[in-house]
Amino acid sequence: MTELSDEKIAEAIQSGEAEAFGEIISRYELKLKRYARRFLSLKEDVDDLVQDVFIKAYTNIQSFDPSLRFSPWIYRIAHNTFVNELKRKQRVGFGVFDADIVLPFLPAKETSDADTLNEELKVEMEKVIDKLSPKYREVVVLHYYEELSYAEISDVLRISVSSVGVRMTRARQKLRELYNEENN
Amino acid sequence: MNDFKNNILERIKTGELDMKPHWHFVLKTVLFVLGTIIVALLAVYLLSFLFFSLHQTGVWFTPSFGFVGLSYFVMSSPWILISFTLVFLLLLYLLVSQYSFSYKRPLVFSMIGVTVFALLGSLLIQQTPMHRNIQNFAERHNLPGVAPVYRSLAGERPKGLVLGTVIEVTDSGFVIESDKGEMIRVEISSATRQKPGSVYEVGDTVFVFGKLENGVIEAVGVRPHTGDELPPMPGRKGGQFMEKGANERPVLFDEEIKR
Repeated sequence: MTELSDEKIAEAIQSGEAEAFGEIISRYELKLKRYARRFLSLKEDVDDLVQDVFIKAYTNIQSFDPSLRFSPWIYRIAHNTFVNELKRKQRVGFGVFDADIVLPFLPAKETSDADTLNEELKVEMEKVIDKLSPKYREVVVLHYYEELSYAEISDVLRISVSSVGVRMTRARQKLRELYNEENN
Repeated sequence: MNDFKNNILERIKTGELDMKPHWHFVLKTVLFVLGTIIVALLAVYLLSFLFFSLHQTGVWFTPSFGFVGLSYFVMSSPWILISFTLVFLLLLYLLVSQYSFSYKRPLVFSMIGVTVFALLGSLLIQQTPMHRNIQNFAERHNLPGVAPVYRSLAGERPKGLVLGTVIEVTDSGFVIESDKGEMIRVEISSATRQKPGSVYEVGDTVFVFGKLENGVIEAVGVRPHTGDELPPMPGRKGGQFMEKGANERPVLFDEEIKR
């Protein structure tokens, strides 16, 4: 089972091999917990939230199309769950008419710095990432920490790739400002 | 096996957690697509009905009569119908934005797409006698719900708008016989908005905008009636509605249109 792709495992679960879901949990538990902690800026336990994501993933597994990638699908479930949690706790609004996603922008080029961003820099970024607004924090977390491509983030957040690029550029600018403030 | 994973797998084994069947999602998708189609059709219908209502009552043309006409247009527009139309357009936009072809592009394109679709659809309907047929059918059969709506939104011209045929030309204007059968003297002054060089002759059908007092209108604007843009009010002289069971062909103005 361990050598199979996520998509093949999902296909096996769909055809009735429920135990195969254990492999999905093993592969995504840490990733989703990390995503939850960073996106929600939570220091405490996120087990219940992530468990909720896996339960939703299992009950809705028949809606997954095995010809597509599995990770954006499960991250989409996680995103919805975490956004609901943010709304519940902080009453944060995720408006429909967000200028970043409504207006057209020039296609943003995806940089390869997610691969090259060294650990030291990630630690520095983590000090200020909590100060970003959730919509910018989330793209940073998904790209730099969860290593999702812009196209995958576009599927998770259901926004255009160019909007992902715009959010990423603004998030980087904001991070730079916050970092400079922190160090001066 | 860790507790976290164990706990979930245990709940699956005991049947506490069960996956929804494939048909559930197929049905959901089918219903969503059907819902989108129904909302799209309703949005197009409402927008076309709005245009029909504005044309039928003549309110559509009043902005061309300057600021007074524009104010009249704002005051006399069917705002409840406009609100309903906007709600359905917004609903259609929200439904469309759930599809990947929509959210993969900036949402302004979906907004433009929905608006253009609704406008084209309603313009297409305007080319057909659909609303007129519905209006006739509803009136003839006194359909509850439909007949009153068509009557109030497209069957009554607001005060200040008169359609009539010139029966006499005078020094200061002309006399018309309105589609309600009233004789009205129309006074034209230099302040009257009309096409430059307009000359009116007996037999012309005109649309007059202005306050009617004691059988006289000091015309704010005059516009020749050139087509079926402003048919006569239903159920009145020359109107297109027939009394129940009547067989005679209706319409004074429709005849003119054909000519």
